Amino acid sequence: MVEFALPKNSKISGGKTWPKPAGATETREFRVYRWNPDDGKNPSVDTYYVDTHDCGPMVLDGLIWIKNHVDPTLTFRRSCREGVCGSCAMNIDGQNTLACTKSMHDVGAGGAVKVNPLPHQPVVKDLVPDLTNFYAQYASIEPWLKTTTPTTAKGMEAEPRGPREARRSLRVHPVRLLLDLVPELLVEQRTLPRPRRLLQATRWVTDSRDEATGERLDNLEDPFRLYRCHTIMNCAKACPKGLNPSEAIAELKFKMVERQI
Amino acid sequence: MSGPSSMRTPLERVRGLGSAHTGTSDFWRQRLTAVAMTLLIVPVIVVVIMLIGRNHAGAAQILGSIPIAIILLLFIVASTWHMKIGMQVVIEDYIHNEKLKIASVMANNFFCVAVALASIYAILKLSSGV
Amino acid sequence: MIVFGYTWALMHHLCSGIRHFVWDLGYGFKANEREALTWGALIAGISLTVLVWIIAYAVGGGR
Ligand code: SF4
Ligand code: FES
Repeated sequence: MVEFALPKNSKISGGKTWPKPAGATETREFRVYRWNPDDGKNPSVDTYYVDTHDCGPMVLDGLIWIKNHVDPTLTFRRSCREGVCGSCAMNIDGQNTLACTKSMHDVGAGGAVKVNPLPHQPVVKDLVPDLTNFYAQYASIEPWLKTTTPTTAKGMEAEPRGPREARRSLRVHPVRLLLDLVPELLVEQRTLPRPRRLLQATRWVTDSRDEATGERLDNLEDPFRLYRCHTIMNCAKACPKGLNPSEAIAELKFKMVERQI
Repeated sequence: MSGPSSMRTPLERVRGLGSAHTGTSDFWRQRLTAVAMTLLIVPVIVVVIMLIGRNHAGAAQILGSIPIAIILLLFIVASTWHMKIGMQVVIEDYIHNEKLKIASVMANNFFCVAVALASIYAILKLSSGV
Repeated sequence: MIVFGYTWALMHHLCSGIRHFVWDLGYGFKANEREALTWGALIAGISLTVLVWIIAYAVGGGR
């Protein structure tokens, strides 16, 4: 059945309040999820105070400040610090978003900034989720060009498209493909096919050079894959990059009907 | 990520038993019945309002009209079919125990067919004046 | 009262269904359009419910 409660060993209990930074004129309270796989304890929420005059404006700046000045054991992922890589995806004040593009002044209405790891996946430590399943899902859509016609020396050129299509075909560039990994992380997912995976699948289904469109659609047509999406739009709302998986999914569903009716 | 499946690779776990290659027909039928009911809703409401407060004989007289009986019958077929697909989606969403899920889907099918047949029988009985 | 609630449930389902139909056809995905459609469905559902009941009383009020 549906699980409404957390398993016993995931219940949050207690937590430590760290002292306010000495000499700070203005501080901001951070409540951060902590869990250490090595000490055998349940997760807890620690309270920190960040000196806002000594720290950048983003939630990620706050976390880095805590790590540098208060508690070096605090663990989280970050890399680009500009909303490109997706490493810092976490749940801030109930919203899955990127810590590096979320201003701490926009959340918590002046109260505490609540920081939790992304939901629905195992935690490795503190704010770091286990992404094994995420990468496996990405691999399962076979995100590469499939053709049987031999490629000419010139290579294969994509058909010119309208602006939206063009944006999608841009992602053929390998770097862009990596960037594309970003947003999937942010979506609440319980069942197998997460929105971004379907969005990514749409990108390959609509690629004019790909010769495996039918196979790709076959692979998606399943009550628990494509059709587990009920167009709730949470994904479109959560996306910090302004992408819209719901729209891509509607396109896939339309194609399914198109090839049957 | 524990139990007997933990020896499987992540990709194998994601692929699971593979795609069922179905789902589009239910998706299509759900839209088909929805559009049918959207078209039928106005006449159905009119009929229901006409029926308010009538006694058995009055109701039988209204339902004796063939177009009215047919509109209601069409609405019953569309709505129970729509109900069956919709409830199945809810079951698939929230019941994750395989056996319980199969039992629930079965019960849902029985229930929807029973509701449909009972309603159709009632309409036919009234409209034929037996 | 219960029947009133049921009418509303039905009408809300109808209007939301139309909203999802629009999405199925590939329209109305922008953030402002999404919000408008959702609020529109809610309000249309309530208005239709009230409308149906007014008509029902006007027509069948005597009985
Ligand atoms: S649509 Fe946006 S939030 Fe959703 S998976 Fe894609 S990038 Fe992430
Ligand atoms: S650090 Fe790269 S997206 Fe936030």
